[in-house]
Amino acid sequence: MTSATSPRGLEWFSRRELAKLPALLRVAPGDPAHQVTGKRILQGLLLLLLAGGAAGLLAFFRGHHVLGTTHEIPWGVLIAGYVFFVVSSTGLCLVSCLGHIFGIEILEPIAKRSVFLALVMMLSGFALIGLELERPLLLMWMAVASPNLSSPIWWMGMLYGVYLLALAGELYLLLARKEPWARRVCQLKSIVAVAANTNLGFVFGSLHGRPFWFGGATPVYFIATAFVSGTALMMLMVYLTDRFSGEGTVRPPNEVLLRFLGKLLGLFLGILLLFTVWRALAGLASGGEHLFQVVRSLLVGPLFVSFWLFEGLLVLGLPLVVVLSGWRTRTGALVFAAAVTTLGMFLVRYNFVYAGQMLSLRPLTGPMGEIFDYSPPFKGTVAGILPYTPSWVEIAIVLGAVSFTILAYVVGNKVLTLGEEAEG
Amino acid sequence: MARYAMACDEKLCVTCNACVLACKNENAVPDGAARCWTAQIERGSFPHCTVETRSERCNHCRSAPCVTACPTRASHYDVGGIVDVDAAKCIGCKACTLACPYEVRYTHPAGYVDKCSFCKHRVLEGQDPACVEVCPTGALVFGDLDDRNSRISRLLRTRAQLVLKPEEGTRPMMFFLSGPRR
Repeated sequence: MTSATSPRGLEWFSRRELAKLPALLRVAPGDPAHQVTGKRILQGLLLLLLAGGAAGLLAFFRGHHVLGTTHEIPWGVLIAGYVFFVVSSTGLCLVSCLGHIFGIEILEPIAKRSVFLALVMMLSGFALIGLELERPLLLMWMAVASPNLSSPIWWMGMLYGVYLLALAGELYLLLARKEPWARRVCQLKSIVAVAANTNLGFVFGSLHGRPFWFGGATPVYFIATAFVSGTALMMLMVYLTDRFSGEGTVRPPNEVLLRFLGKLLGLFLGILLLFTVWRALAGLASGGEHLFQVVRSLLVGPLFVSFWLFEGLLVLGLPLVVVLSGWRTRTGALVFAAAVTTLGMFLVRYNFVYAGQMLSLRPLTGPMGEIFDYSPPFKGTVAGILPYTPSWVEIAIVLGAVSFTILAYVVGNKVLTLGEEAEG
Repeated sequence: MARYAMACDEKLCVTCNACVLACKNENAVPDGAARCWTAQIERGSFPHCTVETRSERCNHCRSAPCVTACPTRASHYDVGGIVDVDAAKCIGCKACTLACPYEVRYTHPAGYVDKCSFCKHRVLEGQDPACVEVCPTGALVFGDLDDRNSRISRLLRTRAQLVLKPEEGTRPMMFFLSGPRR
């Protein structure tokens, strides 16, 4: 396919565009300062991607001996990363669809970028869960050959698979300038996205042996966090794309867009704040010893710093102060709020995944408060808090996935002409 | 149709760990993992204290959360209600490990999730599970609950018993005989 025969906007196979790609990483003498900084960052990200790729190969071929997970804590930071990527992708898709579905015109110019970033984030998420699975290749065959329709994980795979296809289809239609069809796909995709996201919540919410995860509120919590991380990511995407291209400053229409997204972020953070407060209080009020101990560990126990610093300060505290104060009109402050929210949301996922497994399911105390001394079934197990520390391989894989997401977005933005100027 | 179950008599179990070693040998259980283990649970304080001693393993629940959670039907109900894992179908997602309220599963180094199968290969040949066979005090009893004359059926009719975490609603097939013989 050449640019002469392809639909408008699909000139991305041209050799001219592809030949420009090495320049993304090469610092030229005439580059302005912001582009030099951008290229240095991309070079660093490329190194991280290579390190993550090597770690991924190690995990794939050496098995899970190189991961920090144990028999008692089988889901670690790779699952937290997977949840972060796919839930953020859903949030990005849903916020971007607000433009199409509810006619919020200010969001429409960034539809292509949002869809592309959502697609890349899904690929990163799938890569993480693929490396977390013991036998990822067998999954592709067994999910079809031996499906268990009562398993939320099976539905998770199917729904996110359909969602990924819908994202790819919508991106194609947007690039091919078939807006009416793209709008229909967007509506369908929104329904699938909500189903996939809440079903992912149900993967955790259906485990009645894990009181911290169990319950119908967990899927709703997932969709609330999707809107938070999706909005924050969209703000970062808009800002960084402008910052490291063209003039190196945010263009006036995007400043208006950032302020609008800041208001949305405030709304979603408010909902999440209520959720977090009432969830914690419900845990403290619960009759169950297990749930009480987990919530206490988060509030005043071993996860104290993690909970209050990341969930309290980074996700809820600082961003809410920005969007509810006079700083909400300042682009820099809004971007700061979006950045700390995004970083904090990753750590919220980590807290969520670890906290659900951190307590041994063995009884801790009896009805009269007596202490049970339980012989451990597995090496390293103690009644009480189970340790988990991510290995360097796991950390490198997650950082590699983050690098892949950013680099793929930068390349896609370059060769797919995702910019809003191409819309006109 | 058989309905297999196991009972552990807490009055007879001395936690000698013979069952643990026999299981490890029979099923080539890797280091750091266990399909069966012993538990000593102290209750109360001196001078009013007791200790429960017993041998534990997968409870082979009639309503097993692991079977529901498994996306590829690797965890399944097998002959006589034995909850087993088909290693060839297991993708290693570990959903079953987290769904199990008893923490009885481990990840085998070969990449699949493993646990007690009531020594299905022995049971199909008419033998007892390895742990039952080696128990020096006869604390472990295995049999078919559908056979009213089996030893386990008679024991469960005549002895006080408990199952682990009955509130989970999993209907375990591993019973602990806690009361005196009648």
